[in-house]
Amino acid sequence: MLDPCVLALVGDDETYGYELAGRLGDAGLGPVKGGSLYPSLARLEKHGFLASQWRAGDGGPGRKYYTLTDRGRSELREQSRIWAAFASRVSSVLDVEVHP
Amino acid sequence: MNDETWLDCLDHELHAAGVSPENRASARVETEGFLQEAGGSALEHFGPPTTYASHLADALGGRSRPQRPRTAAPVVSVDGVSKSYRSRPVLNDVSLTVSPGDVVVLTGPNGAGKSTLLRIIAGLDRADRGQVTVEGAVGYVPQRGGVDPHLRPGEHFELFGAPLGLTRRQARSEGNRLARELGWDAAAAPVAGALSGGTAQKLAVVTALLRQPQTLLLDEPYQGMDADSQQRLWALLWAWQEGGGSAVVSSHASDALSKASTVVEIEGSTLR
Amino acid sequence: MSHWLLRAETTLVALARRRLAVGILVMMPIAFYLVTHDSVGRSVRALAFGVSWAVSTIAFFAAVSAREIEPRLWLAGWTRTDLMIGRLIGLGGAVLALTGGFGLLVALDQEVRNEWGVALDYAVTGAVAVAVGTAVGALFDREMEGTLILFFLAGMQAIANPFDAWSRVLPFWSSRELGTWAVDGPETGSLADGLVHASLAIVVCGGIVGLAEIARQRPALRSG
Repeated sequence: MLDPCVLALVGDDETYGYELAGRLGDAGLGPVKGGSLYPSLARLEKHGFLASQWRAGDGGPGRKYYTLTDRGRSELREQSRIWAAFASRVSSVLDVEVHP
Repeated sequence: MNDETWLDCLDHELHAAGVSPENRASARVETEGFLQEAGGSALEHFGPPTTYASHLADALGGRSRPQRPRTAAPVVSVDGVSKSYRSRPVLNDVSLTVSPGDVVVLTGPNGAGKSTLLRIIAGLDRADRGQVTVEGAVGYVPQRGGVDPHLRPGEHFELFGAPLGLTRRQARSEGNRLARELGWDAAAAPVAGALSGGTAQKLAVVTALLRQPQTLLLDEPYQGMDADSQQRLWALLWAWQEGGGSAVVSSHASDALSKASTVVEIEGSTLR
Repeated sequence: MSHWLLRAETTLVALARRRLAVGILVMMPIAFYLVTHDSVGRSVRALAFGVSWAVSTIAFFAAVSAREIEPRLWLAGWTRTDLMIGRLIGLGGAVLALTGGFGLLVALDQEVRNEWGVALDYAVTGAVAVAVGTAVGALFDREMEGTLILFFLAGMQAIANPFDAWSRVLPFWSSRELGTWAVDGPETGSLADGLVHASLAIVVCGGIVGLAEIARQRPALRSG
C-alpha cells in the first residue's frame, strides 16, 4: 500500500528520499524506513510513474529528486479510485461510516 | 557492521542480483544521503543489506536496463592496454568503454595506474600494448599543473580559445562564465601560480571545457577543492552528461563512486 | 592573428613576470664583463660566455614550464609546430633585445675594432643558447638535471683551451671564435668557421628536439 501513498506525497513538487520519509511520517503513516521507501521509489520510477534527476546536495553526496510524471498522475487517480471503492466495501462490511 | 561495510555488502548483493552499475551507484548515493540526514545506522533504517538488496533488485526488475540506451557508439574504447615504466608494470591488460553521456569513475589505490591510463586515453602517453580509440576531442585535467604558473586565467582562456577561432574577448568571457559555474571569479584572479590548489584545478577544468570536448578526462579533479566547489563540479559534470558529454574521472574519494554512471576499479596492475 | 604570435606573446609575458630570475640572468653577463673589464678581448668574450649561460638557462626553464601547458594546448587544437615556433619566437625576441643591449654597452664602453662584429657574436650566441636550452629541456623533464647539464656545458666551455681540436664539440665554441674575430680581427678568428659552427649547433639541437618530440608522440589511434 506504500506505492500509492508515495505517489500522492510526491505530488506536485519534487522531493527526495529523506524528505519524503518525513512527509510520510507527518501524514501519520508511521516512520517509514528507508528499507521500504527506496524499493518503492525504484519500482515507481521503473514503471514510469516518477521521473528523477540528480542534483548536488548541500555539502553531502548528490540527491536524487523525484517528480510525478503524467503517467504517475493518472496512476494516482486510478489507485485512489480503487482504494475508495475498496474502502467503502470494507466499511460497509464492518459497518462503519467513511468520511471521504 | 559499520555503514561503509554495509554499503559495500549492499553493492555486492545488488551486483549478484544483476543490478546495473548505474543503478548500484545510484542506490549507494541515495542510501548515503538518507543516512547523512536521518542519522543512525544503515542497519537500523534499511535492515540487513541482503534483504534490502533483494527488495531493491525486485523493484528494479533484476537485470535492469541501463539508465541510458547504449545504442550510441562508444566515444572511448580501451582494449587490453598494458604499460610498464622501466619494466615495472603499471597497467596490465586494461579494457573499458565509455559511451556518450557516461561518467566513468576510475578507482583504485595510489599507484594503480589511474593517472597513466588517463594520459594514455588523452594521447599524452603511449601504451606498450593494446588499443585505444577515441571519438571526438578530449579535454584533459591532470592531477596538478597543466597550466602556466606565470599566466593569468584570462591569458589561459585566450590561449585555449585561439584554436577554436574565439577572439580574445570571446575566449575570456566564455572562460569567466564557465569559472562562475564553478563558483570562481576568474576575471579578478592573479597568475595561476598564486592560486590555491583547488582553484588552480578549476582553471584547468575550465580550460579543458572551453573546447567543448566530447570527453573530459579528470585526474583526481577535486583534490584541494572545498565541499561547495566539489558539488559545483559534479553539478557541472551532470549538466555535461545530460548534454551527451562523457567523462572519465579518477578518484579515490568514495563519494565520487556514487556519482558515477560506471565505476571501474583498477587494482595493482590489473583491472577487476 | 596567427596562433604562434599569441604563443610568442604569452611566452614573453610569462618571462617578464619572472622578474627576479630574469634580473639575475641579465646581471650575470654584465658581472662577467665588469670583472674582466681591464682587457677588451677577455671582457667581450666573458660577456658572450655569460650570454650563453644565462640565455640557455632561460630557454631551458621556458621549455620545462611549457611541458605543463603545451600538451593540453595541443589537445585543445594547437599544432605542436605553432607552439614550438611561437615559444622560440617569443624567446628569440627577448634574446635579441637583450643581446642588442649588450652590444650597445660594449660599443659605448670600449674601443673595439668591430662593434658590429661584437653585436653579431652576441646575437649568434643568443640564438645558439636558445637552441641548446630548448634541446636540454626536451631531453630532461626535471629542472635539477637540466640545470646540472647546463652547468657542465658552461664549465667545460670556461676551462677548455679553444685551440684544442676537441673543444669544437662544445656547443658554444662559435661564441668565442666570433668574439676573437670581432676583437682581434680575421687573422686570429674566422667569421665563416664561427657561423658554420653555430649553424651546426642549432641544427643538432633542432634534431634533438625533433627526435624527443617524435618519441613523445603516440601513434595515431585517434579517430574523429
